[in-house]
Amino acid sequence: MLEIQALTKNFGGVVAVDALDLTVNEGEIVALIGPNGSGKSTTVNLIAGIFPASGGRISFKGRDITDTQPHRTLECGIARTFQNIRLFNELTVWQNLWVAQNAPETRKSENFVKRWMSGSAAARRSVEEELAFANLAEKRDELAGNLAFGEQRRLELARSLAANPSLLLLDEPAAGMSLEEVKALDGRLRTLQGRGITILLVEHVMELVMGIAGRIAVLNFGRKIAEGTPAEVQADPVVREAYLGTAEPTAAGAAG
Amino acid sequence: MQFWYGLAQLIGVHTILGLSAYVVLQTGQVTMAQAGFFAIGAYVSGMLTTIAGWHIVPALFIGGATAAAVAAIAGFPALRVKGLMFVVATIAFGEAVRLFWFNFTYQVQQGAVKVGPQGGEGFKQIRFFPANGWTDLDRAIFILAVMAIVMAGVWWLDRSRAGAVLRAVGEDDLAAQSVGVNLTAVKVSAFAIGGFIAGVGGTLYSHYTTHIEHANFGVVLATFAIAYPIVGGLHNVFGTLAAVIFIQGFLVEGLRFLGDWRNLLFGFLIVVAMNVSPRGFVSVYRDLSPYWRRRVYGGAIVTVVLVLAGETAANEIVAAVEGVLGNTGLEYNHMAWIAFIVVMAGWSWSGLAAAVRLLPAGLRRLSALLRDAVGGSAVRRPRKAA
Amino acid sequence: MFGDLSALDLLQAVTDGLLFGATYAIIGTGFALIFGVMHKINLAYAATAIAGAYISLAFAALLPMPAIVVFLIAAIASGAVGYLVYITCFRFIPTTSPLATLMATVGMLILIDEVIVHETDGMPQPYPALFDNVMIEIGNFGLRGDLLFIFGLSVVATVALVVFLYRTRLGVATRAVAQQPVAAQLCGISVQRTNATTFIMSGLLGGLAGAMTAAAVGTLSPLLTLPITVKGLIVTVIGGLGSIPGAIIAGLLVGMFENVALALRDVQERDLYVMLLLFLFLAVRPMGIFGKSAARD
Repeated sequence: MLEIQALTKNFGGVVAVDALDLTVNEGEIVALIGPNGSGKSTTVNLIAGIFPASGGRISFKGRDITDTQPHRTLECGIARTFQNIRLFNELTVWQNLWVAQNAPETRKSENFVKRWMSGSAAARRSVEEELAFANLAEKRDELAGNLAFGEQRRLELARSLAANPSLLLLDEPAAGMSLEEVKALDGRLRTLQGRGITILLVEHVMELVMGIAGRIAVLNFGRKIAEGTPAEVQADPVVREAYLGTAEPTAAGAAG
Repeated sequence: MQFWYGLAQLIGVHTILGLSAYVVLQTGQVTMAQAGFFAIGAYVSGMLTTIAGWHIVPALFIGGATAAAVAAIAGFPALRVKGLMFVVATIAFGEAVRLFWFNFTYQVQQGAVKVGPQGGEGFKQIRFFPANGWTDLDRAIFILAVMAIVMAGVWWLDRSRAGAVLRAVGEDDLAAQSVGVNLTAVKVSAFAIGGFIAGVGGTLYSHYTTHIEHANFGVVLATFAIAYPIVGGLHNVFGTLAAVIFIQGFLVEGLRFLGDWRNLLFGFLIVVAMNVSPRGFVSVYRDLSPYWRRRVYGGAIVTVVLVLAGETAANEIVAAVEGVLGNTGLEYNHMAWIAFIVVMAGWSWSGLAAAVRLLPAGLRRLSALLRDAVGGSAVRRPRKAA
Repeated sequence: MFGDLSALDLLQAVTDGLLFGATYAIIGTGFALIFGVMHKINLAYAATAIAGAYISLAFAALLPMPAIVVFLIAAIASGAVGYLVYITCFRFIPTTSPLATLMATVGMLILIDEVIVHETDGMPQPYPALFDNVMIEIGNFGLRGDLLFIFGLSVVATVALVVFLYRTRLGVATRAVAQQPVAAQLCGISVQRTNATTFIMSGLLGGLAGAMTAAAVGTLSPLLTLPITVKGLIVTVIGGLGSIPGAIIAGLLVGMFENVALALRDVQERDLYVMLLLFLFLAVRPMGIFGKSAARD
């Protein structure tokens, strides 16, 4: 579904992503791990179209999306969340979701008046569904900035679903979460996978990664150094040297 | 009452100008171009009613539409840049518009006189209102009605999905883009809407002043345009209205007896207002306790009563005061403001007492701040371990 | 060649413009300094500069002094006014309210201008110039002595600024705060103190520029404030936000361009051409000469 070939990104003299090859198949959950600065977030930004690539190619469902702008990649069906939560803090929970109702199907079902003024019934239904998914229905009129951290994360995830994406790019969704919250997130991601959404996950929290990822790619200094199932990656000496650590894997890590 | 009709017209027109900036400011762009769109509306509509003999209402729409069209076209290149660059670009645009009208002459012979804009001389004889028998009161009502319609429109925009999208773009345009909002379309649309509103305001302006020239539409007016929504608060249209009443009513007209010192006080009050209420009047009002809100309302009511009581009553009061104090140079229009302040002070006697009580703590805090600002060293040298 | 101008006239216009452009370069540098450190724009900056020049005139009226001392007093006075602007507009307003800061600087601009107008009854005052009777002639081509002096003074001021920023502790602290205010605080640098210093430094530069402009023009008037503000902003944008070398080059460029436009056309159209230059840059290279195209997260 998503094919990345020889993707490269330079920032001045720094090579953030170095000839990366990666494939994500439909229905998979693929995780991208690696030390800080290894180019994981940059890769997500490149796929989403935040900045242009210096080389290589990204294609999605056969279409070349290498230098497409963010709102167009969304139209293609790719949505993302941010590492540092970027909610519209001055808007309410409901408005955050409402602003994001930009799926092509929703747009087609609304004429100009409906779209910009009151919003169509379809859009409102969609918002209600996302509120339910995020468990935030009672807080719909609360300003996003006033939510608790865990609630904000749930809202951001729900907001990314607003445009009916087929591929979800999640940038460290579990950062700062307690073990309970990570387990809940695991459950929500499985639900999404059940709905047929493909997920590419950038993460440091191994409890989540090892538990949910079907396949893991490991980056270091912008280059892919390993790829495989969780068990394979955990056992790989190169990966352990670079990132996971050479101590024995913990019970939580081996649960995948 | 002439004075109050004139003030109402001024407040109406300036509120519309402020609202034109309000819409654009919501998307996070500081626009100094609103005076330019205001000018376009003023000149175009003036020409339509004076030279082409149109009625003011269609001229209002066309003046607004022309300004909106120019805004949409100018918006595309201008909105490629952000922040300060956009400010400078819009300053330059506003100046370019002003210089255009400075050099623009188009005159038509009508009977014994030539009418039309005449470059540096300006555009005189925009006489739609007088020629059609509109009284001061008619004009005031018309302008306030248009202002109310514009306010209603913007208020409703705030509550619609479009408004939420505007504010989302203003808050975090990258996140907005990432959830599928087309930034260029939104920003250009906001700019065009702002242009339309400014054009409408300009139409009313040129018709009630009957004589406009390029210098009216310079950087100073552009500054007023953004000052109103910023001082009033960007989350509520009533904030802009309050700021206009405060700035135009209180400062420009009510304190006329201060003469030349008025502008100085204006600058000073802006600085104070921004330090005290950086998020605008509305946010301060929201934080007011019911106690204080009652007093604000009470003072406003007394002012209105005095206005309606009319000039005679006020003159009686002034005569009485002057009988005691001698010639104070006060006029009818000062009385209302003085009454407002006196009532506020009187009702807030307890507020005064509280202020006195809080004074020592306030002074302590102030001196701590000053000490911090002046003392200390920029880079503290590490202390040697004891 | 160009209209009625000979190549020599053109060269004259270019040179004069380039030399005078040094004042724009200094103003632009002052704006860039504040923008680089505070990430905000100080619209009261030109007013600070003019105020400094007026204060220096007040001193000059008290006792006779050589013009160079007048210039220096203008710089110092402007630094003091700059500190005042810092206190009233930047020190207490939260950083999350940039619009409030902007409006506060506008308020200060109006306040300073009005004080000047009151004190001088709005009458323009003559300003001392140096070397204004000196003219270096090479055939028909002349180099105005006072412009050369202004240019030279600007060079000295710029070198002094660079030395300050890169060689002194306070300068390094300034750059640190510009890049990472939180980390700078953790290293023991007082952000407020450093910012105040930045304002004083830019004030010193501004006062110098104000004095030089007044000297080149011959008179000092509060009407100078607005055009200088607009020019300064244009120069800052063309040079690239927050970039000092950019501001310098842009200042010289604008000075030169403006003077050539003046020579080819007349006074009224000159400003229009400067604006066209700005629009050209915004369309083609919005980040300015030395700005970085931001690849933001």
